[in-house]
Amino acid sequence: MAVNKDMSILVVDDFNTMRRIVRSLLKQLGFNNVDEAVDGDDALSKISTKDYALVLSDWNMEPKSGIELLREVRQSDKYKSMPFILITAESKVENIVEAKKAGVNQYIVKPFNAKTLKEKLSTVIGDF
Amino acid sequence: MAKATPTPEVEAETTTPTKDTAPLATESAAGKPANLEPKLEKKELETLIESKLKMDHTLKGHTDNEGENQTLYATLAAKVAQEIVKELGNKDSQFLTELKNIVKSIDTAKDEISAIRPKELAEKDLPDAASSLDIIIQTSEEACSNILACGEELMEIAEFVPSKLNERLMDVSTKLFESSNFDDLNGQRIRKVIKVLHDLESRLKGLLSAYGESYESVSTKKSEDKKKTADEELLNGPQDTDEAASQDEIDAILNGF
Repeated sequence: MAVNKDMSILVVDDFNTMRRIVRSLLKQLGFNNVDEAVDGDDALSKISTKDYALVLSDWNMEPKSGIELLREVRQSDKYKSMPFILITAESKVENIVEAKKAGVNQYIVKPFNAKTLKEKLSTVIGDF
Repeated sequence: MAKATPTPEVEAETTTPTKDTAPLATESAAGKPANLEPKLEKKELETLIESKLKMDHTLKGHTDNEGENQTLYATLAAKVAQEIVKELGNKDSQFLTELKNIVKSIDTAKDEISAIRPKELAEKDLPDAASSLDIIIQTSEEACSNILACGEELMEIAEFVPSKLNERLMDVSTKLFESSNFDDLNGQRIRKVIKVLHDLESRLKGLLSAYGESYESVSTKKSEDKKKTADEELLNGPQDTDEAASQDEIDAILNGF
């Protein structure tokens, strides 16, 4: 099944530069329907008002981190199967294990390139 | 804590003078300042009481003469007292030596710490360093933002050019976006360093506060000893943005000569 490139995507990062980078790379891949959130709480607020087909989130944010956001999303019946990718500088094994336990679909370590982003997106939403 | 709050049993024994303990107190009080007089441990008191009882028993068996009895008692009591004072004196001497060593170690530590100029470090160098790192984060973010804007503009231009050129422009913009990752990672690393600097600053300030004025004066003296050369005094750049003179201001100064 072809991937709908009009799908709504939420990019969550407390660092404006990173949100712009991810948004621009997504745009190059053909995804233009992208919203941004500055932390976990902001993301939850946006998720509760709009149906997102994918969340791309940083881990290290305050006050609500990416892993906390993921756990809350997975606890909700409505959003528990929502595709969720962490994009983070946290690359220790325990981080990856914890993210997997929390129900992450993919894990991208910073710094990353467009090729890696495309590959990980494909494994979550299908080839495009 | 246990010594500061003796058990009622021991306290009763030490604070209730009797005919038997009075000579002891007099002897020790004469030999030492009142505030340094060692306190007897419970076990030592029990031993003393036991000795005294044995002494009473012996004296009673040997003589019924009250005067002779008193003389013998006083002699023996004085001997016991001398032994105890001698023993406690040795303990005091050892304690004082250890105390002197501790004081010496503290003085050495203070000298070593003052050599690193803690007052200057805590109040100037560390805050300045943290401030410089903050500026690095800020200026780096601004530069990165400009690079991203260039990449975004290239993407927009690419839409209006032939496909071959479009592809090249998109590749260039992709490289710009990918390369801009550094800013986030460097920012995170620098923020960790800033946190360490703030922790260090806080600990040094705590140290200065604990040691008080005398420590500050030692520190100041050490920093005065380390005079900068004239050329070193001139090396203060790069300036903070709000402190730096603009090119126009510099031109005006130069033109003023």
